[in-house]
Amino acid sequence: MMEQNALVVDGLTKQYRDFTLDHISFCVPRGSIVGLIGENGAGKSTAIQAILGLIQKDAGSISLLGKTEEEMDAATRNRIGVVFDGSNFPGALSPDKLNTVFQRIYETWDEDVYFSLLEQLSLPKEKKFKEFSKGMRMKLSIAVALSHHSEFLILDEATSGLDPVVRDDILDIFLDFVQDENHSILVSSHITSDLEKVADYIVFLHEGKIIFSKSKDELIYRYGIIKCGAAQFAAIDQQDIVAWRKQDYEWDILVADRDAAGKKYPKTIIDPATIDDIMLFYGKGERP
Amino acid sequence: MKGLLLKDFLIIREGLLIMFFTMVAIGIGMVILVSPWVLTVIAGVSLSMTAVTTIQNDKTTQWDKFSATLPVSRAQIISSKYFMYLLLGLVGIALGILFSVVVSIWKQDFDGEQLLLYLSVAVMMSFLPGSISIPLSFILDEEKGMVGLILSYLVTSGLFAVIALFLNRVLHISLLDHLATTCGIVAAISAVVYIASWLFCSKKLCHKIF
Repeated sequence: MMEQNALVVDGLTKQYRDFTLDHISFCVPRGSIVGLIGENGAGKSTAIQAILGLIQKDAGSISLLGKTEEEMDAATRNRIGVVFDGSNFPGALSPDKLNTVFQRIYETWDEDVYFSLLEQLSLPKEKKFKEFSKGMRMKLSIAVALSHHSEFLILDEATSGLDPVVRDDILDIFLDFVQDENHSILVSSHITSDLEKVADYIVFLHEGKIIFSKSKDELIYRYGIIKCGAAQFAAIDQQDIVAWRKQDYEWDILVADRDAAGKKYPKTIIDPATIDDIMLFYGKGERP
Repeated sequence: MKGLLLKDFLIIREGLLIMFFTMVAIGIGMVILVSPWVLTVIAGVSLSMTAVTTIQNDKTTQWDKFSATLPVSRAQIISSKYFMYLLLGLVGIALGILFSVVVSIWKQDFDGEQLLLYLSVAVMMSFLPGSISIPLSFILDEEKGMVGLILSYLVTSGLFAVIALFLNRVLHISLLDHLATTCGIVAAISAVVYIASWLFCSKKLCHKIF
């Protein structure tokens, strides 16, 4: 029977001298895109590396496509596409040569899919990887990840440092990929606007801990920011406040249900909150 | 593992032509100045060393991280490097011997003992450093890996000196009188150490490397 979740992370812990990824738990349901957000150094890459088995975890369990780390075999790895930030491939090889290499590595490698993706993404076949721009490198990495009939894509900062046009192309590819309800994506990024476009769920990591794991719609359509003065701030019920930030002449208050807050405090101005705003409040704001 | 070997071969092939012409130039120099047999050692060492440079190259391009996500085991990733090193070392030695035999026959001074002596030295100078430099290149970063590569040749020379001393002082065998024997012993030890390093690294060390 096919599992409901492509990835289940439970209590994952990794301790370094100056940083701890602290008992993080989240899942990636099949057919969805989950965005892992957080500031630089929040633990996104550490979490992804632990999920991929690139670093030894200290505690917790990970189930990837129904397999634990110990059960992970070549057949399962064939079903996972991975894209890291930066270059993944030897500079001396062209996409054409990479095709001959990956044909001998992935049992499920599909040359036709690969070359059609190269064409779709306007990537030259004969040019060496070292001569590619950053955007072209990222597109090629994604083309490779999609050319062996992957069911699950794991992308670490795949859109950072790219211009908006290339980023948009890549986001379109992600949306196409999850049209198949068996396909899922875990994408880490600190560019939250990208995730607002494509993600179904957002997992927010801050200083190695998960601050929240919620559906994107809940964050965008329910969260709000009350802008008010000192008197109004004092009058607001502490239980309604998620976090607040004191600006020069006003208080900004993050609330989890802006419609309810609007009814309860009719004289206040409540703006919708972006994921960036929510991240800032949780990361830098004060809690009641 | 075929794919990993092919990837390394395609990278090495890029610099093969330059290496070939360098070998020809060195070979001609050696024929005139020393002995054509020296090329057996140089070809074996130079070619096998390129396999170690692919480990450093993998780190620079982050292929090492990416390869750990591929449907190949970590032991296979490590074994592919040892296999490539062995293959290139043997091809280098074979080409060096071929060149040396042709030149010595042409010069009418073919000497079977010289052939065995340089073959032993070539095996020793190729495979003993490899058994040290391959694991060090996996474990250490790019800069320290280079130091490890240099260190591996120093260790080889040191081991050769220790064995020569042992034969001379303990067994009272003169190195000059039994140079071929000494080199043969060290070559055999080198081959054994190389295999041991391969097995240890791919079975025990792979979880520390990745």
